[in-house]
Amino acid sequence: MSALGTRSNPYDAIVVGGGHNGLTCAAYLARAGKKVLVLERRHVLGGAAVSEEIIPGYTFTVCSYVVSLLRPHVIRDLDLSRHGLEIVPLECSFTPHHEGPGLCRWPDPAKTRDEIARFSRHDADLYPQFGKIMGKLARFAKPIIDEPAPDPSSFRPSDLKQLLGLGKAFRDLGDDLAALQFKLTTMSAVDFLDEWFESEQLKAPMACSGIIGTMLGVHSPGTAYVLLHHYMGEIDGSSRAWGFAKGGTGAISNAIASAATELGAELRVSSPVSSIIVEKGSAVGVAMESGDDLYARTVVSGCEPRLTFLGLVGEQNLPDDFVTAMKRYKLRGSSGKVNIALDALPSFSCRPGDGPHLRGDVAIAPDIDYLERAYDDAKYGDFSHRPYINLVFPTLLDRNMAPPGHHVMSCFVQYAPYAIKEGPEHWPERRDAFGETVIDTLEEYCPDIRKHIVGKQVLTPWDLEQEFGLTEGNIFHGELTLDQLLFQRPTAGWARYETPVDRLWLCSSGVHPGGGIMSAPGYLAAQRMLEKGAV
Amino acid sequence: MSVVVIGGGPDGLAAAAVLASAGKQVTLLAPEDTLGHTSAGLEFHPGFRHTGVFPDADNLSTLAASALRLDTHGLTRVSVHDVTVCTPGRDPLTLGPPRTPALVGRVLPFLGKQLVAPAPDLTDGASLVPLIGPALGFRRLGAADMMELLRVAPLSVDDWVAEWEDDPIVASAHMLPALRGAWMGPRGPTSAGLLLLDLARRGAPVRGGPAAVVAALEAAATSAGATLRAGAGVSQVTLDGGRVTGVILESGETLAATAVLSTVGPRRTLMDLVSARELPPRTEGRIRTVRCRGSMAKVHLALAGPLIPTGCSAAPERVRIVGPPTALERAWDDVKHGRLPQSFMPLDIAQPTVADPALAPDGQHVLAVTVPFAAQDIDGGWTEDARKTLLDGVLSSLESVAPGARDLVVGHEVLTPSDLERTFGLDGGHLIHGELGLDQLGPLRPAHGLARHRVDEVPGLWLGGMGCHPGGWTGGAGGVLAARALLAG
Amino acid sequence: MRTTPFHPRTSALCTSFAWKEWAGYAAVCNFDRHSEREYFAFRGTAGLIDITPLHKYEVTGPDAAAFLARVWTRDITKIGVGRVVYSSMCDADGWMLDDGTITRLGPDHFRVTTSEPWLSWFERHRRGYDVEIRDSQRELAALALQGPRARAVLKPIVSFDMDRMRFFRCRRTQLAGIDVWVSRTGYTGDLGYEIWCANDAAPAVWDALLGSGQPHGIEPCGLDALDVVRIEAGFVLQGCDYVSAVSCITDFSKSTPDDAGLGWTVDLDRAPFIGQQAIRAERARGPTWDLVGLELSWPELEALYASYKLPPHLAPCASRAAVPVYDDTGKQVGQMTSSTWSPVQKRYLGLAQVRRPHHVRGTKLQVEHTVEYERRKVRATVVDTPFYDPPRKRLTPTAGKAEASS
Repeated sequence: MSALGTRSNPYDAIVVGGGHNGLTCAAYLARAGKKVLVLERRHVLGGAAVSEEIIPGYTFTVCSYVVSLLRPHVIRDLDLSRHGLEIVPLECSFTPHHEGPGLCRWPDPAKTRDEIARFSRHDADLYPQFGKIMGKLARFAKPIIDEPAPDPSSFRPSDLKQLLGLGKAFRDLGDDLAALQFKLTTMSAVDFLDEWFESEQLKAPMACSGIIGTMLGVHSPGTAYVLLHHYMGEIDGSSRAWGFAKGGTGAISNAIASAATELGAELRVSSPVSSIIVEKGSAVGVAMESGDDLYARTVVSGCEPRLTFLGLVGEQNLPDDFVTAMKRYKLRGSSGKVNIALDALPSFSCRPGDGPHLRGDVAIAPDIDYLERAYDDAKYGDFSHRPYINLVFPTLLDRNMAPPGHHVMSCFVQYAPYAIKEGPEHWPERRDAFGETVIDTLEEYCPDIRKHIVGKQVLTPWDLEQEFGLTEGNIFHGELTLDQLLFQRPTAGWARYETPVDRLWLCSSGVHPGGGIMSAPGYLAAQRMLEKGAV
Repeated sequence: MSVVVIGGGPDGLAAAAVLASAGKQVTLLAPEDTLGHTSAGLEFHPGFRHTGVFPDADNLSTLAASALRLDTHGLTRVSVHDVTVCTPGRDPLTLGPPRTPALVGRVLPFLGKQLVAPAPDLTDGASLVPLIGPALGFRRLGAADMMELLRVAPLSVDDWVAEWEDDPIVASAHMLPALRGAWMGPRGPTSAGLLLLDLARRGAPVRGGPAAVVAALEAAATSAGATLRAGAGVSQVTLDGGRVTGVILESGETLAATAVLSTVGPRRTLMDLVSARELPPRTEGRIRTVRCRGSMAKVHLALAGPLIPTGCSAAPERVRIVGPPTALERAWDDVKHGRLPQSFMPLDIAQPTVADPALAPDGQHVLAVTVPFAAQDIDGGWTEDARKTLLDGVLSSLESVAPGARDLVVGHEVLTPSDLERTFGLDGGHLIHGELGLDQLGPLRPAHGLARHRVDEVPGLWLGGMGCHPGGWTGGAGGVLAARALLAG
Repeated sequence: MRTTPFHPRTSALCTSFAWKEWAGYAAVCNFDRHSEREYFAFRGTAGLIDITPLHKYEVTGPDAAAFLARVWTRDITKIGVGRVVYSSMCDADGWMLDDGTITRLGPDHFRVTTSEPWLSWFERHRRGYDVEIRDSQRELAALALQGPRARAVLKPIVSFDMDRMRFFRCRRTQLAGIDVWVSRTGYTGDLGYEIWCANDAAPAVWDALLGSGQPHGIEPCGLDALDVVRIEAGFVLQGCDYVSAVSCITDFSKSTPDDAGLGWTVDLDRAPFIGQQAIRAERARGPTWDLVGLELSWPELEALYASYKLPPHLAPCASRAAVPVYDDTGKQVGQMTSSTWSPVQKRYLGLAQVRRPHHVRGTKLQVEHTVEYERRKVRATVVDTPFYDPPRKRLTPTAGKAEASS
């Protein structure tokens, strides 16, 4: 018998792209006894969920940095803790201010109440009630991420049943909550929060969760929805929504990879795919940049949809309307990443020194206007003069990531629009200025930060595209807007992981339920393929 | 059964006419000295009249027109107004119909139907039967159109229009109507949905504008036997045991009524006209958060001669001065940040004297300028200086496409959102009593539980007007639907 | 956690180191490792307990009474100056939010105490009323002095003649020369007073009371003993016997005043108040639940333990673990949310929410009881509350002689 991957002896499935979803999909397929090969272009697995020692001695969680919705059943099914996965909760959420001690929200409600009461007694009273209401809504929304997207156009009994089930769950919310759920999907984060709270200092960091990774502002309709995500984690048994994987998010990928390998999947790094081979409308394998062709009964793409279809498949193999849809697919990366190696913890002037407030995430989001102005800069093709920054100190949660006493700081920076006015290809010339803007911004809150910097890595949206294959630098493989969610992700009619190309499947964040380190698309795609007998 | 209708605008008049035709004893109370509310045509400068502060009568509901047979009361329509689109440094062009994809032609009838029917009732215990019609209608669009509608509605108008219109100036001109009364710029998601609804509402323009609508409705209401009282502002809706008993007028006069139908804005009605101590808390909770941030100003100019933009051969009746979508977005930024317009001001202009020279002295003209982006509240407030700056911005925009326009001005009236609030009692200076947004439309307009015009917790109180379903710039429909709901209930 | 102004005194005496959080403050559970001594102080002499953590609001202004009448189920406009009432507070759907006391300190000045923070709720509903609402939780220290000797402890140190103070009255006076408010109220179902003073005066008030109480056998008490006596007194506890609607995920866990046995706090036919329409509708339908007192059959408990070759073994303090309540056919009809052994009455008592008509006095029910990890049932009877109601709770020695009305 010849080696696997030939025409006569094809793999059951080849997964293009070794990101966490590709790996998850491969692990589940391998678990079902399929012969699976994962091909990763870079020298390291994980895609955008990677940890790398960019500066000797300092491990950066290069792109993604926190986890909230990694599906618990994936952790159980693949026994990820045995494969080394250890997720520790972020302790708090800290927003420094120029005046006063800032705002820190703790897991302890009484402590949080005192913090918020400094700005508004009214808001302090309402904050737990808001959480309760959002928790109720999250209970409705959560099953949606664990099931394939509903299909409102289908008349198949199983689809109708799913729709009816959703309709019933919606009605079971009660009419006021159902109305609220609808409002949540169409309102702006600020308008929604305005219905509850009065203090800018509380609303600003809350509103941020609505804009992360998207090219919208906190006043843009539709941004309220993501507020819910914050409350989905909480009802998952843990009181905190956000966690950090020890070793960085690369540790998640490594654990899934280890599970996949143990289950029999074959994983290859430094194996760039140049195209997906389509014969008579059917995917039969992949052509490697090395010149080799590898064959499989099914090809699964863990890459972003536009890259998959317009890059790897080719327009000639696709129907015209699908090509149009892929061209319209909104990516619009809006964020960058700055990883900093430090020889000591910086001190925030509003809460000096080390302390528990640094063991969570720190949001540079002093008020709503600050966030909206950051967006204004981006709208007209520039990075924010004063950006929203979400930073964590991974070393406070995992001391192994830097030499003793030294630290790494992971800064998610928004807005850094892919489409700067000079043209995205000019990002490399602006990379230093972007990095400096981030440091300048941080310096306003931590005056001593500059002298502690040992080295840094600045990733612009251009870099995210060039290095990680995130088209236009979009961290979610496509904007998480209403027109690109559920049954419309990536486009109407193709939200169930199948594609117009026979035997080609999608398992990336570009399909339902979308981005973030959830592993849900990878899991759901594998389930669907197995159900349909596609592998 | 005696009914008091509050508000003398098209919705109040339409409601009064419908109720009176059904044999009710109707008294309409209008606070202003002239009937018509913001649609009244008034003299704003000696010898110069406009046809209403309300921008136009293009969206007069077919519901009101046909239900009240307004054609028999003197209403006439013109086939279509040509809109001249101007931008600095480029010849004006006549705006054709939007080159929207075929989808639009197929979904507009469906949307139009929803706009003349009562809003779906989504309250607890409501029967699901009335929902079956719209749901089937929606599915009957077919899978492709249904999905496309679901794709387009949440888009920004900037993204959607770019799909079918290459010329950025033309694109801007098409976007402008969708953004009226919405608190968002062209990049605001869901504004494409608002444009679809605007297209679905659009009808043949009324000759004579809003003032002509008022005249026809007034005739219809009077002939149906309604009593119409101008200069009769209501200060309170009186309740007894939670039930409406009548109204108290600002003069102190009391008027008993078994039902009160208010068209002065749902939020104002419930929050100001009903005593806070008597307003049931659930209703209060629902109406309290209705967003009404006015974002439009109106400027009326008396001109010594016609406004003829460079490149036009004659004075146009409708003009839109726009820049590319980015310029609209920048103008929106000023509203968002609550500051005076800082850059080029897009304008939507009517020159009613072209069709009706009698509105101004011989050879002179009236320019009714809608400023689509002007904040309700600006830093430092709308002082005299600030209003002068606004006027100056308007004149600069005019000057940029019609040099010499500034020198034609012999008189002016500036109505900022805060002036509109003061003059007409509009909450937030919002001309249609509530922002347009997908979360404030249909069963959620004005708010959840109030979309069927009835206030369940205050028996006898009914809400009509543009703050209610179907919303939009649709004179009359909110009044007719409210009156019908009252008659049915 | 914050500490109350009495902390220097209480922490010095708290040998058990048993504290718990109460509304953001550290509060003593019991000063000894056992709360028996404290319990018998409440019932036999006088117990002194720090109640500073209660949420307190000062409501002032010409419309204060009308505003409070809108927010609370009692018609607050009807209460005179110097009176205290206990009331319920509901949301628009008639679900219980909280219970608390409202004291009329002056014509336009009320003090409200609640178990949860409600500033935002009050603020939201003040539209149309000329009132000011101030959160005074952190400005006022408070002590409860409860027990048969309470009056005797206060008499020598208070400038007002305590013999004349009637039940549920409050007045401003001086205690050991310090300005205080004294109200004849409490959570123990016995003769008792609550004393309110400025934070900085707190230690002096504590010292004066303990000093004066010495000959009477006064004891500082903690929350564990209070929990036992409040059950004996039949008082419900928010968060235990019913749950505030804002903390509930489903309507099932919410209660109306009638469900919580607090229907008597509702003055229904008057100007609109929050929850009125819903409560009226519920009364028209007939309420579903009631909160009742249960007495568990002691012989049966003894026999149950005996069948395991054990003597009856009951926790030394009140239990807040809800257990199912069944009718005599074994169908679950409710839950017992608080229960305790009553040392003075030698009875095992509980408060339970049961479906009507099982609320009728004398109804025989069964309550789950776990012995040696096995779930069993014990017979219980619906009885009237309060379980313990000494006449001295309400009696005023000089009753009949008119008390100065203000």
